[in-house]
Amino acid sequence: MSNLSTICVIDDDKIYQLTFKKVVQATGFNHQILIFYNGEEAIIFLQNKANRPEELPDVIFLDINMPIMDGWDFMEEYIQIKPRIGKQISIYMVSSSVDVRDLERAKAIAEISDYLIKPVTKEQLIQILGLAMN
Amino acid sequence: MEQIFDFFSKLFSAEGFPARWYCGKWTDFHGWLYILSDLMIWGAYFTIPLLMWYFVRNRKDVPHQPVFWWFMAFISFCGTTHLVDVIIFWDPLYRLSALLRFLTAVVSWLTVLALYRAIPKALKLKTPAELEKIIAEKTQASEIVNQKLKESEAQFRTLVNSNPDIIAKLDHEFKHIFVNDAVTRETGLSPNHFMGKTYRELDYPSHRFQELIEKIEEAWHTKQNILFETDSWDENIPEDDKTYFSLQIVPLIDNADSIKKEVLIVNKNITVQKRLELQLKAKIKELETLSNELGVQNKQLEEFANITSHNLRAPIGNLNALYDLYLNETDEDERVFYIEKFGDVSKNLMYTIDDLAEIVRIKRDTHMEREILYFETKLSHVVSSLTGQILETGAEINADFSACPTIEYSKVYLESILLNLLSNAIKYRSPERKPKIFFRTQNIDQQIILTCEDNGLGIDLQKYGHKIFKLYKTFHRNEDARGIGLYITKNQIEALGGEISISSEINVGTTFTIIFNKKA
Repeated sequence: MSNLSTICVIDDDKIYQLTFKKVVQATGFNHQILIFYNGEEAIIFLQNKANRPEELPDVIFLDINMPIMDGWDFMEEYIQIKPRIGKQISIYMVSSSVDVRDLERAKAIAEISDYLIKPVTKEQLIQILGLAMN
Repeated sequence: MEQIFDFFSKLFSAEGFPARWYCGKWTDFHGWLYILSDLMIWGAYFTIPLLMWYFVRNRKDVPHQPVFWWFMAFISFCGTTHLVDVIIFWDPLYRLSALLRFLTAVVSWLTVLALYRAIPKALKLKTPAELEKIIAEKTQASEIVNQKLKESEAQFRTLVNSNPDIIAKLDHEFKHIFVNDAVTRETGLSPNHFMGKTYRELDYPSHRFQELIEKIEEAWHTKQNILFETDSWDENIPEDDKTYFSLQIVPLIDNADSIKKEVLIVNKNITVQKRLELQLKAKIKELETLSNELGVQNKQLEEFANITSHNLRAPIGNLNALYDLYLNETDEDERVFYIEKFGDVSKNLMYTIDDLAEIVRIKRDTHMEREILYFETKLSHVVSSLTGQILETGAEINADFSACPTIEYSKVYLESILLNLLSNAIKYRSPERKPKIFFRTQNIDQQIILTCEDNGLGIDLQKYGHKIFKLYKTFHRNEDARGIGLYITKNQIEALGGEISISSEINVGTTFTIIFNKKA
């Protein structure tokens, strides 16, 4: 079980959630998936589990456009609570936007590992999960 | 000592001396010549100090007065000795005579001393000839100064008169005491026409005159120059033919005498500059409007780039992903499932495209047809179209349109605005209480204002305030929320020159305020 990776998806798009799950399955990684519909739900989860690293995700795939708390607001909140979280978490910003300004804004945030444009392919996932497992 | 005592005790006694007549051989002629001469001397010596006394008393400005007094005393004493000499012919008072002579000697020497001390000063006194010379010199010098003054005044007058600005001097009653020739060019009237008259007497409008007087009083009070601009004082002249002036008010005040308050008014015709300034201002305003419009258009383009980037690419990405899964799927049930999802996504895509089309239409149609609409009528239409939701939630809807019952506006937009406000208020109601919604219109400063107040969930404006009117932004866990209503409402209002704002308190309620015709 040591190779079990916990993957977190923060996105309000149900179709995206569905296709993403299918692609993760196709990678063949031993995994579990946490799904949140917006940034606020995810932040509350991370705060509650801050002291239980085994339940925290290894990787977060974060959407930009969401109700209540969008991707940018989530990052602001996350940076506030990060010191209390007992685990190194990789965060990938995932959006359908090809707008350069979104890309640059994401790059300016040190806590974001990379910016991915939807749809995320199987090959991209294998690489990212491989990195996270080492 | 005995002799001295004897002398003073017998001072007025003739004891031991014969009368002078009987001392020696006096002929009558000799004796009377002596007596009469002494009497005449005594008379003269007493008259001299009287005359001097009269002179000194009437010419208090004469220098060395003490010397005069000493001389008067000296001559009086001299006279007295001569009188005693006469008396001695009959009554030989030689002791008194000796004492008087002694006193005369003392006074004589004191007079010598006073004279001695006064002489150096007396020598310095100017003689009338000297004084006359001095006066002549001074007169000549002052004539030269006068001449120069005249020249300089003439020069100054030429300078003032050839100055293109009107320069006027008014006295404390605001009457003209001077005005230069420039006034003729500006008014066609000679400077003499103005002299001794106030601006009121010269037929200037009274409120302008009042304004000028206030400025002059202020200048006198503060002792500071005042500069202000004014246009030609005739109000019937159209804007384009107006002349503009800059007026400098220079207070002239004699501190000791309030009557000597005067004022200089320098009146410069600045019409040419002012015209250019006004043109420049108009141009700047035009450019500002243009720049604002460009700014708005730029922002709209950005917004559209953002919408297409996020909201159109998202479903297309989903379609791609589903298509890949469908192709790689062998299970027939799964494949059917994917096809169904395909349908869902394409339906959503169509909604999004409809939204965009609607938004583009609103942005383009800034000149919607307007008609007189009754708020009351429009609201009741909207209420009846939402009857289902209203009955279901028990919503209580009230309105007060009495302050402003009608508006000239687009019928479609007003219905859409009222519908969005009402459906939002019902959608975001508090689960703890029945919705109460209150509409009200006001007319403030000719701006028509509509407020919609509810007692719903409220919203944290600190957190979401900047996003509230943005497209596809929702802030509540609500399945129906699509994040388009307020965006459309805001765009409709702004397209017709209005403004919408929000105030809200969490769990108390929200108030939307719409100014339909926002003044610039």
